[in-house]
This record gives sequence, C-alpha cells and structure tokens, in this order.
Amino acid sequence: MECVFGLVGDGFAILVADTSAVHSILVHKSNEDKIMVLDSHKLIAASGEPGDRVQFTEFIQKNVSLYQFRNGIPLTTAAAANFTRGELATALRKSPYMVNILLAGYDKETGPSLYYIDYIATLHKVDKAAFGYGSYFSLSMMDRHFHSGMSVEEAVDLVDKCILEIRSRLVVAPPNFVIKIVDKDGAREYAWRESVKDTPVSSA
Amino acid sequence: MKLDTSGLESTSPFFGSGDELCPELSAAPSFSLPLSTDFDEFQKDTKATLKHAKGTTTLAFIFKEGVMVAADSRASMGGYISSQSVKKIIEINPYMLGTMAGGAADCQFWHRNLGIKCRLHELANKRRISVTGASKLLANILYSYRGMGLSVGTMIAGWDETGPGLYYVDSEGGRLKGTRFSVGSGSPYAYGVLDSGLTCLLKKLRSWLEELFIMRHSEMQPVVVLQAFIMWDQMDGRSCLVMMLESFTTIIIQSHPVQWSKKWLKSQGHN
Repeated sequence: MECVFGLVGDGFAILVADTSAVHSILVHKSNEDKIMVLDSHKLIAASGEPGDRVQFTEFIQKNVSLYQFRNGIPLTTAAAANFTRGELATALRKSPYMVNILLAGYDKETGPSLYYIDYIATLHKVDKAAFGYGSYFSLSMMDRHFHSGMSVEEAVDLVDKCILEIRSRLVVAPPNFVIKIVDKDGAREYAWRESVKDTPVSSA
Repeated sequence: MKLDTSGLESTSPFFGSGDELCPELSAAPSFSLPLSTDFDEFQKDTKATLKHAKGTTTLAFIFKEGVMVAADSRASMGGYISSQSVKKIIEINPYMLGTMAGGAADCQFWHRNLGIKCRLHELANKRRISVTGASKLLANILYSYRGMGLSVGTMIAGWDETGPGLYYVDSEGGRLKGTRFSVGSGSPYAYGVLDSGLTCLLKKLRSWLEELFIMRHSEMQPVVVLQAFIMWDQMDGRSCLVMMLESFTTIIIQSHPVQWSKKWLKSQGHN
C-alpha cells in the first residue's frame, strides 16, 4: 500500500514514493512515478486515488507554470503550497480530490522547504513528513534518526533505513521506490530502489 | 422479507351479494398481485437481469513486432450467458484498438465516442492522433463522469509515430502507461501466464496462445472464439497489418492487410 515520505536536509529536500499502481489485490504496474517535477525547483509527491492523483498534480503544475508565464517570476515554494491548499479547500465541499501531497522546493531566499498537505486541505511546513501505510514505519524511523542539517549521504541513508523497515514490517509493502531531490541546482530524480523489475520488452 | 398480500386480495363485494343486475359494480376494486411473496428473491432476480457483462478476460502487451491484444468473447448477464461470440476488441481506427471489460454499453459507447474524436483530430491536424493522446482523451472523459456509475476497464493499444503504445484506462479516472496489462475478473490468471511467457517472439505466438487457452480452462470458462489482433509496422513503416485468430481447438492465423486501411493510406498519398 502507498508509502510517501520526505525530509529536509542541509540545502536540499528529499522525497520518496512507492511506485505501485494497485487495484484491490492486483498490482497493475510497479514502476509508476508518483513524484512530479512541478517546476525547475519544486517536487510534488502525491498519494491517493489514481485518477485524482494525476489530474490534481497536473492541474497544479499547469497553474504554477501559467503564473510564471504571466508574471515572469516563479511562485515560491510557500506560495505554491498555499495555492495547492486553497484549491484542495475549495474542492473539499464540492467534489473533493482524494489526494495527500508532499511539496518540496528550494528557494534562493529561504532555502529548502517541505510542506505537508492532506486531502482535507491541512497545510503544515515540516522537516519530515509521511503519508500512507508506510508512514507508521517511516515516521518513527525519521523521529529516531533525523537531525537538522543532514547531508545528502546521511539523508539517503535514512531513506534507505525507512524503505528497509517498510519492506520488512509492512504486510502490504510495495516492492519499488523512487527517490527525488531538490536543491539549489534544481529538482531531479536521484535513484530508484527496486526489488522487482518489470521484464523488459525488446522495443521494436 | 416476506410480503403480506392478504390485505390486497379481493374478497367480498362492497354491497349486496351476488347482485346479478350490475356484476361490475359488485366486484371490489382490485389489481394483480405480485407473483412472488419473497421480496428479497424478487429483487435479486430483478437485479440479475441488469448485471454488467462480467467474467471477462482481456489482455494486451507490447512485444518485439508490435502490440498484441486478446480477449475472450463471452457476454453474460449475471449467471446467464447472453452471447458466446462478442467482439470485446473494438477497432477505434486502423491503427488503434480498445478492449472492453466492465459494462458493455459504457465501453461500446465511449469507444465509439473516442473513435469520433480521434477522426476529428485526424481531420483537424492532418495526422493521426497518438496513442498517448487518444488514451488521455478517454481518461479525461471518464474522469469527468467519475462516481456517476460508469463501469469501464479498457486498454488502448496501437501504433503511432513513436512506435507501439499501450495504456490502461478505467472509469475511476485512472490511466497507466505500460508494456503489459490485463483487465477483467480473469486478469489475475492472465497475468500469471503473461508474466511468465512474454519473451516469446512472433513465431512462438501460436504455442503461447495455445497455452493461453489452457489457462482459460482453469478459469472454468471455456472460450469459443478468441479474437486477437496483432498490429505492427510493416517494412515501409506506414501500413498496418491486422491479424485475427479464432476457433476453439485449432488456432487459424489469418493475416490480411485491412482493405479499407490500404484505401485510406492511398488517399493520404502513401503507397
């Protein structure tokens, strides 16, 4: 079942998400990227209903880029988080988006930041956060091992600890994870942690 | 729940008794009674007549030469099998196929609708729509109707400018890109075979399909007609070949270029 978590380190933020697309007992896909690169210095990881997840994150991405296109300056991470929260809040009493979001970004002025936004439009600025069944394990791991000013190596180490704990303790543990990082150089994919590989199909 | 219909029965007339002058007046007003007193059973039977086509297996995968799509051919309404020769693979256009699982009406209608939209795209842009684009058109429509009771589980497979494409689209608004999918109640069984035998090349397809038939027996649903299409790019990179496989015990592979697609190609200036 879904596991999304992230933390802020020294000069960067890191997001991790499982990559399973599940329908009841069936895994349709084990390499579905649930972390979207929102713009050059923002990452958005979403968990929730597959339709809402894709539709909502694409909607946010397009609106953030529209803002940048109109005004010539990009939204700060805080502004993007508040915009996302606002959209979830207005949708909440109409047709709610069933998505929980972790938004990580890097701004020149404020440095790296991580925002926790759930489907009922709660917004928190946090140093570490998690969603889904994996959160029960990753939150405790992060509480134990997280400290402020972690280096990339330390953070990736902690992320691997969390993944190991999820894989060994969670009954419905997903096999694969994707790790993405955002820092002063921008948002990018860092690594995959795969225990099940899709048999490659020789392309035509 | 048992229905108590005793109060509805017409017993004694309103006035007089056996008034032969006006028999129509003497009869108490009445209407026909429900044939069943077991309301739950009655409701269950009524529901069963409205059931969606279930017990479906559809699958598709990308292989070396192109995309393979296969489906069973049974339509059922609850326990009743209404047809053994249904086409669950719908040709959206000569280069794109869609599979049906879930509600037959929903699938048929929205695939037709998608076909129209794809053709309009073709006319407006002078090029065929990509599989990515087509699947997203469908996914966006289904997403806008989510929670309103549509029941669609489909795969959009085809060949476009980027090569073979395969997407899974469902009525919950989900859309997944992948190399192999299976939809329907039989999908777990199909995945079992699919995950172990995908390395097959075209020449192995025949034996692979026979294996597939054996799998289908294990599901206790013998299939009378298996419809399968293979689409791939021919030498010139433009035309498309559609193959159809059918019959129960022996699989006859008929390969024939689609006539109207050739005609269509010619009209587009290709040879």
